[in-house]
Amino acid sequence: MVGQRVSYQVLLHGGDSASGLADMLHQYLLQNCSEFPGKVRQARELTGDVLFRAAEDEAVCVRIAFRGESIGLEDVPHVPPGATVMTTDFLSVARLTRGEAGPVGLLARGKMRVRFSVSQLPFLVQVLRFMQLPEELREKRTISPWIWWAGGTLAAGGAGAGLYWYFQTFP
Amino acid sequence: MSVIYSNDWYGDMKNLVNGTKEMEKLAPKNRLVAAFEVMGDGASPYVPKDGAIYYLIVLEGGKVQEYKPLSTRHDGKGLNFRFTAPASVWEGIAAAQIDPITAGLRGTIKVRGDMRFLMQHAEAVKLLVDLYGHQVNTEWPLGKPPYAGQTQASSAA
Repeated sequence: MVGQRVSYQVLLHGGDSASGLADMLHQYLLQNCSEFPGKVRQARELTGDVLFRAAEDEAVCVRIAFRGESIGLEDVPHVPPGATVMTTDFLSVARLTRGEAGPVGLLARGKMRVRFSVSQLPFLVQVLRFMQLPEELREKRTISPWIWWAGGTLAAGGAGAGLYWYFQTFP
Repeated sequence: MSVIYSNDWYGDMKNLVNGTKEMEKLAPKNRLVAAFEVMGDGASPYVPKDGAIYYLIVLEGGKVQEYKPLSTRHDGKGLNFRFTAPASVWEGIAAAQIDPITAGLRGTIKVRGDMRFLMQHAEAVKLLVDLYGHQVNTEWPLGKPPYAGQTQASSAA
């Protein structure tokens, strides 16, 4: 496990053998949490797991475990059934973190795929907000919070419709 | 045409990046210093097995100011990023046989630095690595990757 002494713990499991995605996400979260107290406040409100999978190579998948007082990152060889998973590419992640793109736009353009249960939606929206660059580092072209919530609602509707279709088609 | 890792090659790479209009638009205006570490892995005929080649790229004002070899590993002072990978991987990228973004995500290329900056300038980083991979000026006098006993898939893994 690798971790620096900061006021908030962000731990990388696997050390040197961790994937590049896990390693870079670890550095990103550690840097944000060690320099921006607002990010720590956001992190403390998060409890749950989310998997980030690289669209460029879907074998690369990292679980981020939010535990309120700490965050743990680890590579997962297989996506567990029922897990919340976001699959997207490097440039789309960058645009998400800068607030230049929202999840709905990325979903609509096929740049992002998300699998989640409706009950996980508020958590997922919070995670996406937490993953954004700190306000101080962003250009003033961000997406307003209502778009995130509207997007979340649309996504939930879509997911509900998808589940409805699934259970109707494969009872 | 220039031989990989020759002084002419570094000059060609600099000119290639600076000749790309899009890079001028995307590159950070602030000074950016990145060190590249090409580690001998026994597969590349250009880097001794236990040796390494180091080079430096300095971007400023949207242009590459320096693209030059280093005699030793950069000590880290004033450095924004350090990219480290086996020689056969860097050369596979230069020969357009390995995707650098995928190699980075898998951890074949180790990246150290300010990830916020990387996110802020992701398009420039992607363009820079794409140019590295799609330039056609490199000469490979000792053979071109993939090297003997190495496939494209295994070299990227």
